Amino acid sequence: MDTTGWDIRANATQRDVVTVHARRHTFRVGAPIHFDVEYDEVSALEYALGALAADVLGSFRSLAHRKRLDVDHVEALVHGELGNPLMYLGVVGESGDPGISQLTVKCYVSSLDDEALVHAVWDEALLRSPLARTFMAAGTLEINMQVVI
Amino acid sequence: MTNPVLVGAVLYDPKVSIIWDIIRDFFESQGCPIDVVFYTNYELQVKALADGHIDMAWNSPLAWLDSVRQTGGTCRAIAMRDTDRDRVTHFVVPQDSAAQSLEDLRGKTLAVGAKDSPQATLIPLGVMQQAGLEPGEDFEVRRFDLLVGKHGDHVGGELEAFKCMAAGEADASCMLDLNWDGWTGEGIISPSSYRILATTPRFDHCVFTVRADFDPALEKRWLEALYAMTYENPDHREMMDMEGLKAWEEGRTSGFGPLGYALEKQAYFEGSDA
Repeated sequence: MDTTGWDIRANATQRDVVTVHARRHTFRVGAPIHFDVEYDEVSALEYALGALAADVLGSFRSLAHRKRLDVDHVEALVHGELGNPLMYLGVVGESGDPGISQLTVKCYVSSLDDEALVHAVWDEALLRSPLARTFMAAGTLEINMQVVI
Repeated sequence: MTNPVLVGAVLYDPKVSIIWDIIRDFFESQGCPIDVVFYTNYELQVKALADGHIDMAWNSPLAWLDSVRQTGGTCRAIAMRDTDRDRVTHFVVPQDSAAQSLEDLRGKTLAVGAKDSPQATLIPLGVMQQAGLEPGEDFEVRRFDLLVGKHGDHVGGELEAFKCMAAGEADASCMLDLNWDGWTGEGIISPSSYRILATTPRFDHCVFTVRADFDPALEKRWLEALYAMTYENPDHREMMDMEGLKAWEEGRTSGFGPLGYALEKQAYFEGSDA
């Protein structure tokens, strides 16, 4: 396996649904973005936000395990904003960029360990998080972590 | 393959695209396909209709009158919602206001919506003018220019106008009857604290507009598809609820008098390039 590159395969066999194959796994992705709260697929943007959360939390839990940090629960709230979603809809007369303009991640770590130690592990984990590092480099990501009991 | 009818619509919120997706699918199922072209404001849409870039426009009342102006009076109103007919705007005051008529607003402050909102600004100011009260001379106007270009489709301007009055910074505010009904029903406005001082004459609201050269056979087919949408059909009901109607009606032009009067009195199109 190539250790610096990853591949997936995707098929768009119907409108607004893409089937993604990653190794032996398959998952469905809905429209790039959608404005209906009742929409019955997970949009590509929501997958991206979920992937960022998984990246941050996964990196932290992995490192916490190796550092023998006593972590009970970790949770993240991710908020993403697009520059101008009307550009995605092709609205005549609009301008700007439909891309992600701001990402905010609020994390809550439940641990009985020393708070300073939790923060140290957290900071190190962020340095190791591929997606978080990518969005940080793009200047769009703000991450806050709070230790709770 | 039949070319889809190109229908223009102004988006004041991305969520509005959802209803148009549903309407597009509905027309497809009726064998009369449409493509929806979204515009950021009515000015662009009216120009697109006049220039022949689209076949039809879902026009605000102001956009309708602008279309009449830009097509030399040749465009036609072909369909509207039942709820677009016979609307009124209320002048709302606090319950304890001393005002008993519009005349009592002389020397006072009236809060209105966006400068291009027929219901929240243009028509009520026209009614004041008809009553002999000139804006800026006989009374002050506090205007809330939210999303200008959307012709007041976004209710934010009306709500801000009401809040302005509620904060004591205006003596009266203007709002569409549907908003008064909705906001008093939802508890946003307490009917025990506010009352309707006066009401405008009835006027009509949005209307599907076509140019004079729109193919009559295609128009007939399109209208047949539109009228196939019935509230009795559960498959159509959700779509109609989202669009706020119980039935589609023929387009009529008799309900734009109060706005036409206001536009003339306020020289609204004066200096316009189009």
